[in-house]
Amino acid sequence: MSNDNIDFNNIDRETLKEMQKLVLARLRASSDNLTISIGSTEYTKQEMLESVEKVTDLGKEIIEAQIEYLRDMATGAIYKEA
Amino acid sequence: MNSCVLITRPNHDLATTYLYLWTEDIIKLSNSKGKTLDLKGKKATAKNFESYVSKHQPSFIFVNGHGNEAEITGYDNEILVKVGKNEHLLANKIIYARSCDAARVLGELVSKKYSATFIGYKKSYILGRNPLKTNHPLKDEVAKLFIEPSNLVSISIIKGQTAKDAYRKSQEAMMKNFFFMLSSKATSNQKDAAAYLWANRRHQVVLGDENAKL
Repeated sequence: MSNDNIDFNNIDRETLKEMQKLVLARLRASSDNLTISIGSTEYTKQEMLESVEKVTDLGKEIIEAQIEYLRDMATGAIYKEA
Repeated sequence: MNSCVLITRPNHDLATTYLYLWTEDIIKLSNSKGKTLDLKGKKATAKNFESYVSKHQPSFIFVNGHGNEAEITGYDNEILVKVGKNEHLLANKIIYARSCDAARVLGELVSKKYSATFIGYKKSYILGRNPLKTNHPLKDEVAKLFIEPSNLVSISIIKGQTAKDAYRKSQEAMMKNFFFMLSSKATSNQKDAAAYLWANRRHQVVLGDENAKL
């Protein structure tokens, strides 16, 4: 399993844009009946979409979680852990 | 180690209310095993926390609440422990912080400098929820997949297992739930929450003496 975090300060714009597109597509296709709590704040699907579009702090957390998940799926790291 | 357990569980917002309710069974288990101090709701204040830790010297502290890399908090986000202020309260104890980020600095510090064993998260602790179950948190089929594996940390410690085993059991339970979420048996919101459970699993750590136990 990779422990590399995404370095949002140094990532090139094209890569970030691709990640954004991928995560937005996943979020748009997701259930309306899912909210997430991070700290004391609740986020709906719409708020998650907006945060990823604007790459806010929340958006960065969501991008990172989704990309790590996809990366660990693609590399098979998830199955090595099982 | 004495077997006194201190649990904080504020309930001032939705996330803490969920954790408050889902901690109830752990309180019952802990009560059946030994002395249990339950700082619940508004009782989860800095003053009570300091006083209970100093007076009773609990061996295991289970914190439910918000946090950041240097702090863990109680009711209304009042700071219970802060790096540079009172982290010594955690010395020589086993701590499970079900809160965001606290393992990154606070956990590293108390495990290295104060011989504490710290189980927690190096990044956000994310809770997936079904918004239609807001009034019935214990029936929330999404939250269950997140909270039950994290409860296993405390359950295992209270049952006398080592910190390492508590961590391993929690990791295994997250993995089991994760694969369920990928399966056709999962509801659509459970499936869509899988990435966030995976993030919790990646960022959960045990620091310090992994063989520590009650």
